[in-house]
Amino acid sequence: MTRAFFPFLALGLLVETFVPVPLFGKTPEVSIIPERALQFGTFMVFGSGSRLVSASGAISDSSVIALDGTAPAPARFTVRYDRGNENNHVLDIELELAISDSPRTRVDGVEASVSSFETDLPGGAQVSSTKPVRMMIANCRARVCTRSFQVGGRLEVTRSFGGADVEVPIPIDVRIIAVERQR
Amino acid sequence: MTCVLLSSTAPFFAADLAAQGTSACCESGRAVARIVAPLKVIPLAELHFGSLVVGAQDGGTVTVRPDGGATVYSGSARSGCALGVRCGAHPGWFRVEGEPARQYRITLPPTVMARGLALPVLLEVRQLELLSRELGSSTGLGQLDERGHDQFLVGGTLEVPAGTAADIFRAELTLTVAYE
Repeated sequence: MTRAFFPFLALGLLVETFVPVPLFGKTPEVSIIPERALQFGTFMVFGSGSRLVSASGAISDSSVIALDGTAPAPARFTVRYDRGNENNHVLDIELELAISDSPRTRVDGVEASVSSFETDLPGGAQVSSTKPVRMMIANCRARVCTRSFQVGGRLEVTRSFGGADVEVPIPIDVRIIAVERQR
Repeated sequence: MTCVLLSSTAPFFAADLAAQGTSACCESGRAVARIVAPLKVIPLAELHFGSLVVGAQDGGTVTVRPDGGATVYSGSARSGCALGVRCGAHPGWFRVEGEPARQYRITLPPTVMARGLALPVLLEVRQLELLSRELGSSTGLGQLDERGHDQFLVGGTLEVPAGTAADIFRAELTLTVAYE
């Protein structure tokens, strides 16, 4: 009687093993969160001039006159990596960051653009669309890990008449290069 | 009969963590700045000490107040205007245009020298002072209104030595106006 039941038991086991197990979590993804705008402050310009705000907040003016107002400051961004599941492997994530020159913006009699971007990331003194910078999120143990960095740049202004509050977009891209599990 | 059990470590679980990812995203940060128009100063009226006379033995002074108050004569100086003739003294009058609601500062020289047109005589204009209409202040500080406008007036004291011959005297007043 034992022999008669054995094949059925083996078949049952085989059936259980081949049933697909539902997947938990989703595809890993990366995102950028703008935390603070790149602040160039308040200044007067007669024709054309520029102001550089470095990633560390240093200011360098050319043909502009500084005035009291909002303090100049670098922009701040946070890169966010979501591994998409709840496993607790320790990960080292390598990312690539690129910043494109901003489009020229015109408000009334003032034209402005931002270029010569730099970051405070190691090796990120100059960043552009053709010169990206690599960054690491190391020892990631949680589902979501983040890393913040600062961005400086040069604002070039041409004033024909009057004054204006200008806002210029900073296109920034990030992509995952590699995700390594620590052993 | 041999029972073969398959391994339970199946390839159906996802998250191959060593794979090269191509996940990418883009975002747009912001750069912001306030560009301020330069100050513009437009003279509307000269600082005028009017027509006056002074004695042969004693000199005198003429003080024009920036608030438009009565002209003050001292020593032997007197107004030389005939009744009904508009030749009296009045303060200098300037209009300022710039960034709305921003303060600015006016800097005057301590003295200027008025030169006679006919004779090589110099008369000193001292104690130059001003008054901002928006702030009502005489400290040199002005305030542009919500349209970016203000006006300020300039007064001073003209020193006229005794026996100064009749002439027309003119001086160039250089003042500096800058955002505070």
